[in-house]
Amino acid sequence: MFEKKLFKILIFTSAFALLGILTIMYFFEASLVSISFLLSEDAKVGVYLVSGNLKNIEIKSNVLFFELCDSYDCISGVYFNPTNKTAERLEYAREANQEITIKSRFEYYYGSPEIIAYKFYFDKCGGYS
Amino acid sequence: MIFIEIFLGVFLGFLLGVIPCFHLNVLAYLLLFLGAFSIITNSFYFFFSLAISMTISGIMPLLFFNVSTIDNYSLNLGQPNCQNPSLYISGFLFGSLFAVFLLPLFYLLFLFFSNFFVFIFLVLLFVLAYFVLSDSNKLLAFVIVLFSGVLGIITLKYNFFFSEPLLPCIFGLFALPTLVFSIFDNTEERCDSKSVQEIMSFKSAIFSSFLGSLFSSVIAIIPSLSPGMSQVFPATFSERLSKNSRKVLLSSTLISVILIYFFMAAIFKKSRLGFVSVLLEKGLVPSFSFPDILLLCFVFVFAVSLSCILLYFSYPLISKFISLLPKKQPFFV
Repeated sequence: MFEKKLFKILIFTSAFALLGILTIMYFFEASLVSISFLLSEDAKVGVYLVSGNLKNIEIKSNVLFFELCDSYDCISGVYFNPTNKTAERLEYAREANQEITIKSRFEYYYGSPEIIAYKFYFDKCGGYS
Repeated sequence: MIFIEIFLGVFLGFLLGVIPCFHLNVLAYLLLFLGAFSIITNSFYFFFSLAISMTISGIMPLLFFNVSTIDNYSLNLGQPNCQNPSLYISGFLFGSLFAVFLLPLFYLLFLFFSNFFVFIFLVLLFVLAYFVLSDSNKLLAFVIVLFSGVLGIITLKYNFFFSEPLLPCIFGLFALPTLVFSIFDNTEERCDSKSVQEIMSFKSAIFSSFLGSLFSSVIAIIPSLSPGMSQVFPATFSERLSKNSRKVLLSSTLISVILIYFFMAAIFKKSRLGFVSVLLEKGLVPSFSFPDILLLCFVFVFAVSLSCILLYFSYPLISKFISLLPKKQPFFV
């Protein structure tokens, strides 16, 4: 009796979790925006994918500060608790002037626009840190 | 892409977990040695699912051969032929659900208590004292604690035996005391013949799973505490836990800590497990936004249920296969 009930719960839980994954992938997929859009008045606080080249990388108190620029604008960003490997890859990307994509949260810090980086995509194959 | 990662992780983890005493940390060091992390660069959910599945199928050696590990040796779970996977499956399943609901609690605990080193020291001392005092042979237990403590200090602090700290991690400082323990341990248990329904109700399975998930939060605060050791707390507070409840408790704790390990790595970049440390060092654990945390929870529950379904179906098959193997003959008649 217990075992039969358990198997039903197992099936139900896996179906529910699958539905949850699909829902999140459908509704919470970050949209790709330009830096100019984030700096415009239309930009709302949220999670976005943004591409550009890195400038002015600096690590202070375990926080990595950087600037992400495209042809027109730059936006400042932070990344908390970077590992050595991530810092190295970002430094390499800055030196090589490589375009990277960042999944980040856009918000206003004391009135100025800023991105808090979650994930760095270094290539189109999806390598991230 | 995420589903390929999950399915691959679950199947590979399930196969690897069946190998007795093959711990996640050993796998991480092997992958490190083989340079696998430079090839697999974008696969957080693969490693996450692999860790979940390996933990769940890691119960197989215990079910079939009663192979003890640091997580279950103190629990006295019974002889191989007394084992039933349903209890462990219910522990894994309900434990995973409770772990997801208790995630805000784990977050707050780590945020407020992780820097209280005196508190951490006292908890470790309490756990150690509990193990020594609850053992039938207190003198032997004390000698083992003393011996492993000395061995630990001269190995890790003064680097006396090995030039590389990786080696003691792989071979395990606790291997020798465990061997000594197993030499003197000759407990024989009577097998329970009642069905699972008669022995354990649905309600008590839920209660034990909740206790397991709740007290696994201790691991979030205290470094170097294993899932097995964390079960000292519910065992102390609830002395009347039956052997079956302890099985549910064990599996619930084992699975809850996996979510805590990965959650802490993603949010605080901290790790309590060698496997997660290696992933962090290799930049395989990204930072998480709120939707990412939700996704992590759903992937966790999905991978747990998939692995439990695999365990549910593979157990009778493996059991049948093992029963066909020739039995070991005793030396005397």
